[in-house]
Amino acid sequence: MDRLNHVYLEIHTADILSCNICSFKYCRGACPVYDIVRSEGIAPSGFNHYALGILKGMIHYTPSAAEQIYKCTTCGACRTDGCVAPGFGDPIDTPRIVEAMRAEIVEQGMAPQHVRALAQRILETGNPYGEPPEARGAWLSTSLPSEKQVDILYFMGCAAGYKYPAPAQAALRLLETAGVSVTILGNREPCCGLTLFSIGERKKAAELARRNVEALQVTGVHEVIFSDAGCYRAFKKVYPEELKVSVPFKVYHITEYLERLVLEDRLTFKKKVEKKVTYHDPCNLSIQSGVYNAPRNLLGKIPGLKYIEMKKTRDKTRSVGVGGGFEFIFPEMAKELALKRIEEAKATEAEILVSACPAVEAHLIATTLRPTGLLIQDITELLVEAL
Amino acid sequence: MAGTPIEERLYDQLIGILGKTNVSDNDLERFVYSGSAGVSMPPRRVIGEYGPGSPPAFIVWPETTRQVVELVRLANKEKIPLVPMGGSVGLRGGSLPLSSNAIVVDIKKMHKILDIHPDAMTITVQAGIVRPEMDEVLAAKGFWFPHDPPSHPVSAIGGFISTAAAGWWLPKYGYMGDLLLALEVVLPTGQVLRTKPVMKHSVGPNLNWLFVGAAGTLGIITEATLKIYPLPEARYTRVYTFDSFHKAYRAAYEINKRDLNPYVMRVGDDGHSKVYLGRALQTPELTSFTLVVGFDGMKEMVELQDRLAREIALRYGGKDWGLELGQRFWDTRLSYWKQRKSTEYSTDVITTAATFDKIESLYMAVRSLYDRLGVHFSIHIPHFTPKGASLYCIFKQPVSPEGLELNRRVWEEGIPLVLQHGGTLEHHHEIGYYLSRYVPSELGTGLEVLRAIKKVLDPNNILNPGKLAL
Repeated sequence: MDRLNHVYLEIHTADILSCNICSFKYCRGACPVYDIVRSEGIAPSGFNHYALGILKGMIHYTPSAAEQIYKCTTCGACRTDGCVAPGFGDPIDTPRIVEAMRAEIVEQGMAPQHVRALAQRILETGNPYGEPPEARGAWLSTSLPSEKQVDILYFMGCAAGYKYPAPAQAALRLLETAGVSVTILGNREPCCGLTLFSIGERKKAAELARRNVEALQVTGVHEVIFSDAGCYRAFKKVYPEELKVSVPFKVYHITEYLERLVLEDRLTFKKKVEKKVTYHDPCNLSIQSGVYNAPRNLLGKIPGLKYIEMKKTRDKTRSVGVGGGFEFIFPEMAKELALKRIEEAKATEAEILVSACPAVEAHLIATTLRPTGLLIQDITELLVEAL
Repeated sequence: MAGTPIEERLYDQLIGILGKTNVSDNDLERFVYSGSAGVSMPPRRVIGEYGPGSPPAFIVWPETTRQVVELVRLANKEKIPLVPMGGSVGLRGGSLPLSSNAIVVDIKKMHKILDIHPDAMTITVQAGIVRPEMDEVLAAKGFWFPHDPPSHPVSAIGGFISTAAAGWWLPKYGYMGDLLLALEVVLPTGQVLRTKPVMKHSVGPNLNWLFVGAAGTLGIITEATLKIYPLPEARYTRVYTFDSFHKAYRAAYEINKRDLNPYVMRVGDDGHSKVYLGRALQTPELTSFTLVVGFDGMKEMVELQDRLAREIALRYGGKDWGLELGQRFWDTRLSYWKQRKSTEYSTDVITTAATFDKIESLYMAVRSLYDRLGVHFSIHIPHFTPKGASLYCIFKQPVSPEGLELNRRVWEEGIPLVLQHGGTLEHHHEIGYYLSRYVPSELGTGLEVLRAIKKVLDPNNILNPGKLAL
């Protein structure tokens, strides 16, 4: 094996070999992209087949071939559904193997043009949409306390900052109702860099992570609350575990923080919301960060609400195509994934599909420009309705 | 990849037939398709040998029968090999492309349910559909399709037919071929054959069976009409342990002879009980010889069948582990064959079937061979049918050149031994590429018949050449 060239991939050698011995590759049945593309070339097992070929020097990264390696949302459904027999250890972590291949593709200068363009956009504008930095959080009121006055920061994320502010507005309203004072950086808020990391820009993502942590440290806050599941995962898991940037403050997803406030009786929901609701687990919050119960517990506190689980739920959630830069690199496929999920939500006969990630909701809403008979909301919006 | 003028012309023609998103010449994708099929390969793959698979020129995903017809006509005219592929879990390389000009025809985008007919108790589907896509729709109408090989979450119906697949519930429900009423097949010259959905006819041989187990060498199956069953009212399953293989086998034999009609009946040796059954059921106490037997259908009938079978099992000295463990068997059945994250060892398997009189001697012969060659093994009888039983003889080899040599010796000595004891060359999976060399000893003149049929149907030998000794 050409170890010098595969510093990212060789860490996963045992998993790659192991996957290549597997007979049935049940992972395919769990992969949302496989479900629509139906190619062995984008199955989790297919990615591990590439990885083995690359480690063995049988194939090499080229810009056109490398495009295949971006056809993964890195959702991790393959990790949980049918990979390893009980008692034989953790499932193969294919998303990490895919991310490792992408890191090598970028370092070898083999990234496809639209991937390079996405990286450049994030670095130039501080968001993956390419929106002007000064427009971030333009919807914010100026009445929030400055960071000098409080030690909790609310981090809105790019999606709420530019595309779908309602979840951030609702989160701020709920925190205010519970008497929690937070500050927000407004248009000084940086991009978390998760997409940069996911598409293989490791060095730039690490640099951004260091800058972000320093910037937040300067504010003096001790706790950071996120609405965006991707930003939350970046600070909670990717910075310390993948980019080796330690995070010296406590990080919470908004649902975790609100659940705590409810338990402390600082937040109660009294108004009936007599609606049928289903919940989509964002992969960055659920499979990738392990938060499953907080959103459900909160929904359970809303009087009159009828909660219905979708068939693919919790660690078997179906990606809507947002993760891993997928929505920006393969917008048409991402749209198809979103429509599949909407169909699954409609099959429950729910009136509202809630999630807990503005990026997910923005994508779902953008996909369904025509009325579908299903309202898409962030969980915080529904909680505000119940105040 | 499409670099030469001929390849570029072909690429354009393929796009014309299938659309741009259904044709790939991506280098990495071609690499995966050169070896994704055929699980006998992975030990070789992980030590850097990739076997005979060649990256195909293209991979295509037809969505309609019309597209398959046009594709086949083009391939026939240009004399290009087509390699049909379903879920690629036949384990013997049946969907490996063997030449660089081959086109892999991945049928998994043909996954529509075309008709469910509760009165006829049939479902008609496109051949690329996988069982989970049928299950929910059928269940909503009170039915199920009881073909349940462990690969069912990822295997295509067309693949099941082309490999004459065997499911766990075949003691009662039969093989894939038994569940088939009618087929639509695109023949190698582009004609479309449609058989009639009747239980039996006396108008010559039933042509459905020409394509069952034919490995896609005689036509590309595009649609199938299948028998469905009402969801059972009750399902009782029990696990029994015995102190010898002989006793466990005789108990099962007796249950079968009394025509109790179990949906499942499996006998495992001590190795199987320890390594597979005990682990799947999370019951490490299951270390001896085991019998799993279960019944489904109307509750009163199931209770009676279960009681009679239990009496027989106890009479042969069986210990009953109760219905709860039996239910766990049902619930955890997919855990049996999930990977075990080993990079040091891999497994392979000789599978065979024979009439009842030969099963015990076959078992002893294979067990003695595995002992002599020093391989770890586990053997079980996954199915009893009214006509005989099958044996599933797993062995384990190190993932190393020595392990591959050991694997070669097991096959070289194992197959003649199985044939000598009256067993078939392959019962469970497929012949594919890897077992093709043994086909003459199994079929004799039958192979000449098959070759003659192949020559008439596929004069240019475009469909899956090199498989099934054709």
